[in-house]
Amino acid sequence: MLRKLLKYDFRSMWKQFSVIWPAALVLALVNRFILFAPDNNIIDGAIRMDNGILAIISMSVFMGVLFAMFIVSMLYVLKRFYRGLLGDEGYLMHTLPVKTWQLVASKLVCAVLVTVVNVIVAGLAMFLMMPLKWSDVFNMRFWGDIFQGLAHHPGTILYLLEFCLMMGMALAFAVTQVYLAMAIGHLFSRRRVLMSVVAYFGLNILLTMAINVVSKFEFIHHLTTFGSHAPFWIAIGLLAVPTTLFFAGTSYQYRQRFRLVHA
Amino acid sequence: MNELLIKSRGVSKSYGRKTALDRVDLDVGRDRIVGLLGPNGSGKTTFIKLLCGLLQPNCGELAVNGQKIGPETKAQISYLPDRMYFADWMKATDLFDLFRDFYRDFDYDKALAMCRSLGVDPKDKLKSMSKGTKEKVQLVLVMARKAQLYLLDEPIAGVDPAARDFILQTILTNYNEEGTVLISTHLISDIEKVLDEVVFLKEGRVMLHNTVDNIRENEGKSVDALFREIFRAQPMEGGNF
Repeated sequence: MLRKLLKYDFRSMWKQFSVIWPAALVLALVNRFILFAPDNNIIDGAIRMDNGILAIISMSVFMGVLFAMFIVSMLYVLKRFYRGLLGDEGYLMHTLPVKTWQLVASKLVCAVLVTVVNVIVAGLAMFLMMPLKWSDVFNMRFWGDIFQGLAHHPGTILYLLEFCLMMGMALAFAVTQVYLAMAIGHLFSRRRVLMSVVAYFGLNILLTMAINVVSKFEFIHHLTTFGSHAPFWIAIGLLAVPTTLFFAGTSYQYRQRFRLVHA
Repeated sequence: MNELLIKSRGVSKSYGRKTALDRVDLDVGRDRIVGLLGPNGSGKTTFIKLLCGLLQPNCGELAVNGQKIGPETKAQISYLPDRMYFADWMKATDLFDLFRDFYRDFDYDKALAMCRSLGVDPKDKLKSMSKGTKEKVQLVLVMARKAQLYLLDEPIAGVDPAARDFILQTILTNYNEEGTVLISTHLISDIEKVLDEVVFLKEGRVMLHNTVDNIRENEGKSVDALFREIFRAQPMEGGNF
C-alpha cells in the first residue's frame, strides 16, 4: 500500500516541479552561452562581455529560479502534509484502507526526495553553466580513469555512500520534526498554525537538552576512535533516534487523536 | 460475513467540553437504506466520521462487519463526505486510478459510464470544474464501488429540489444491493420514500430506531411528521411583550 501511496505523491510532486526543474537547467544552458560566448574575453580572471546587460538579466533570472526552486520545495513539503493529511484532502487520504504510518511515511519519502532532486538539479545547473568543452565532458577515457581510481580505492565509494546516507537521515530528521510540530499544533482547537510553530521551538529546546545529556557520555567520544567510518555511523545513529521518535509520535497522534481542520 | 453490519456499544465522542455523541448503542443490519436523521448538531456527521475512521471515540466499541474500525473496515466502506476532498492537480481519471488501486470493489468502467450519463468529462481538471460537477464526480467515486456500507453525509444538502431527485436516483440505481446505505440528512421529506429504516439522533443520543413501515403503522404519520413533532423548536416562554 505504501508503494501505491508513493505513486500518487510522486505524481503530485511531478505536477508541481515539472516546470521549475527543466527551467533551471535550460536557464543554466542559456547563461553558459551568454556568459561564455566565444566573443567574450577573460581579462585577469574577469569576464568582459559585449552583452553585459543581457548577461546580468539572464544570471538574475537563473538565480531567481534556483531560489524559487528551494522556496517552492519547502512550501511544497509543508503544503503536501498540511493539505494532504490535515485539510480537506484528508477526507480522502484517511479513509483509504491503509495504516496511518504509511500515510506519514509516503509524505516523508516524497519530501526527502524533492529536496534531494533539488540539490541534484541545482548541482547539474551549475555544472551546465561552467565553460566546459563537451568533448572533455564526454571523454570516455577521463571517466574511465575516475572509475578505475574508485575501483582501486573502494573506501572512497563507501565514504560517499555514508555521507549520502547521513545527509538523507539529516533531511528525514528535519522533516519529521516539522511533521510532529504540526501534529502537536493540531491538538489545539484554535490557533493551530501558531501552536505548531510553538511546538517546533519546543522540540528544538528538548533536542538541545538531549544533545547536552548525550554529549556527557564518554563512550560516545570513544566510539569516534573506532576507525574513520565511525563518525558517519554515529551521526546516522544519533539522527535516527529522534527521527524515529518524531515519526512514531506523528503517526500515533494521527491514529489516536486525529481531527481534520474542518472536522 | 456478519449479520450486523454496524454495531455500536456505548460510543461517546466529545470535542473538548462539548459532547457530540453520548453512549450510542445501535445495530444496523444488511441490505437496507437507513436514514440517520436529526437536527444540526445532533451528532450525525460525528457518528459517520467514527464509522469511517476519521475520528476515534472517547469510549465504547464500534464495529463494521464484525471488525474494529481500521484499514479492513475502510476497504468495505464507501464514504461521501459533506465537503470536497480533491487535490487541485488531479483530473477525475486520476481519482479513478487512485480508487482502482486502493479499492478492489471499484468499477472503473462503471465510473466512466456514470460520468458519461452525468455529462462529466473525466479528462477535465478538477480545479476547472464547477461545484456541481465536482459533486457529481465525488458521487461517481462513491457509487462506482460495490461496497458493503455506503456512508453518505448530507448528500442532498445545499442543492435544489431537482438536483436532489437526481442525486437520490443515482444512489438508488447504483448501490450494491447486498450492502447497506446510511444517509444522514435533515431534509427528510425528500428521502423518506427511499428509506427502509430511520435512526433519530438528538443531542448525541439515539432517540428512535425503527423501520419506516412500523413508524407509519404505529404512529399513523409519516417520518417527516414524526420528526417535526419530536424536534419542534420550543419558543421562549414567559416574556411579556
